[in-house]
Amino acid sequence: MRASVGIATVACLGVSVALAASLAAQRSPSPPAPTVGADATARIVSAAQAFLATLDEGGRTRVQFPFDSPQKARWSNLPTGAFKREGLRMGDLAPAQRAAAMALLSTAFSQEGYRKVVEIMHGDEVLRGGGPGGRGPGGGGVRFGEDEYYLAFLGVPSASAPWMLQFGGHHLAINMTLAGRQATLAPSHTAAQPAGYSFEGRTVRPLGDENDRAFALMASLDDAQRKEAILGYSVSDLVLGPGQDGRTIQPEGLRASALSASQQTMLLDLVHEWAGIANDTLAAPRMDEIRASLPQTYFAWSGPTTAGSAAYFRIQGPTLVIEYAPQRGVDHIHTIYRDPTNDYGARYARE
Amino acid sequence: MRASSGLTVVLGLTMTLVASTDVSAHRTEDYLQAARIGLEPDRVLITLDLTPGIDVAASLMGALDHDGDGALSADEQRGYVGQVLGALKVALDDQPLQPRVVSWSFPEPSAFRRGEGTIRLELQAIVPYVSAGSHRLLFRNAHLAGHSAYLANALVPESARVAVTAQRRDRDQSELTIEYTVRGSAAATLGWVLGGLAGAFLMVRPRTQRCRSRASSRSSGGFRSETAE
Repeated sequence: MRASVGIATVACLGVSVALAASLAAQRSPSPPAPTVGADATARIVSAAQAFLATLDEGGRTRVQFPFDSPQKARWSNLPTGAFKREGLRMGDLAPAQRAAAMALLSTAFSQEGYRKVVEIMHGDEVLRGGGPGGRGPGGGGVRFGEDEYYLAFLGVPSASAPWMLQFGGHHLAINMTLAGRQATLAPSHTAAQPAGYSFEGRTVRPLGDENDRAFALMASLDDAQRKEAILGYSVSDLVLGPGQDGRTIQPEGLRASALSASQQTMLLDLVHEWAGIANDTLAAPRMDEIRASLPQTYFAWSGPTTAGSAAYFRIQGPTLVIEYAPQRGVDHIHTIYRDPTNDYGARYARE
Repeated sequence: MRASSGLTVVLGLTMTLVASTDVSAHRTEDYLQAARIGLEPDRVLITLDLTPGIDVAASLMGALDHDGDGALSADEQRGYVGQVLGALKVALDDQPLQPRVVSWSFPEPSAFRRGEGTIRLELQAIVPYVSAGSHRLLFRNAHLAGHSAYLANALVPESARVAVTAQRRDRDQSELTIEYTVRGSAAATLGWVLGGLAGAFLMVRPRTQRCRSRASSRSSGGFRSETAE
């Protein structure tokens, strides 16, 4: 399980290939696979079992937690060293194990979702010092890079019983709870620093679509809509970030019912940047749910409205909270995605 | 407040000497103070999360660790919690409330020094009596102003009797005013109805008795003094 330099190189190459492939495909998303939710879950379970089969007994013990374990809420935006994660560290996996882990993620996530995850990880590699703009190793035992991401299962992967696939590290926490044909990503955290970097001659922006869609939506608002949407105060960080489980803040901003049909579509496309991290089949019913509650959904904005500026925004509905919070500039972004009615699949457990 | 002013000075002096190094890739030179406020018919609940960035944390630790042992003792923690509390103003309908500290937690010193730790204070203010209708809660946080970034939000009330109608903030969110309404509870409504009925009965009863007395007097063919009864 000990990662050697060679393994790290192979793994890095593997991620880079995945990144290149996903970058090539990112502008031409394919339609949802013609499967029902149960089939999608079965494929994820199969990929999880294939990953488990690559592990020895010790590895299986380390990756597996009870479904109701406190591990569920043990995630953070912080890097390794500043926050202790459990599960299997990517840097400790052999190439075949790491490939199986990435295959699992590519099955569980959509093409766009997988691209986002890989780009966030690669961005952390850049932050570590492996690319332009790198800052070198962090002080105080803090570690960055693609090796510092952890995979855990809560509950046994099953096509019918609830279980959770948890994958995260610095600037990333995907908590995907599956229960038969249903799945939720809530709560999940995506972030990026640097928010843009060069890879094979092109600029990669892991959260670029979130940013661009939000500014496009703002640009489409008329004066009256803007007046409602823009909060008259600065928001310097996530309100419901890590550690804020179980809280629901009072919604503010512009009600989506005041948007035109095309603006509502823009808002839903923006929401899809988070909900659509799950594979297309599992994301579709979630998007239907969010669409159904659009009249009770709010869009709020704080900061400049000129594209390229650092601005905070929030989308909040009965089953949805999304926040996008630049950290003192455009090159460091934190986001959160929650469902106050179904964080960690709480609704599935009740059903 | 003198202690708080001293803390501000120490922080100000120290932070001018600390070069801002983004070693942790996270908040460095400011102090994030996030308040989440829950409203109930009979109380106000405030959760205050205080996350000093790495530069602030180093200064703060130095200012609070009086015995210099590298950790914050219970007394040192209590002293700081008192300073934070003293910098808060909470008022309901312009009447000051006195929040009590229900609990607090401090992060491990190592996390604190890295600027990765959060101090959490749970506060509660009992509201003796709130009538049904519209109310206004003011929350103001002046703790380490000038070094802090603030967040202040009303939570969705858990009680169906309470509804937030508006939130107003100053530019940096150090001050939040929550406008909200309180509906009378079913029990309270029943109480008011029963009380009203009882009051009406008591008001009507003497007149009824007077009428009866008069009728009785008339039937007896004579007048009787009410005071003589």
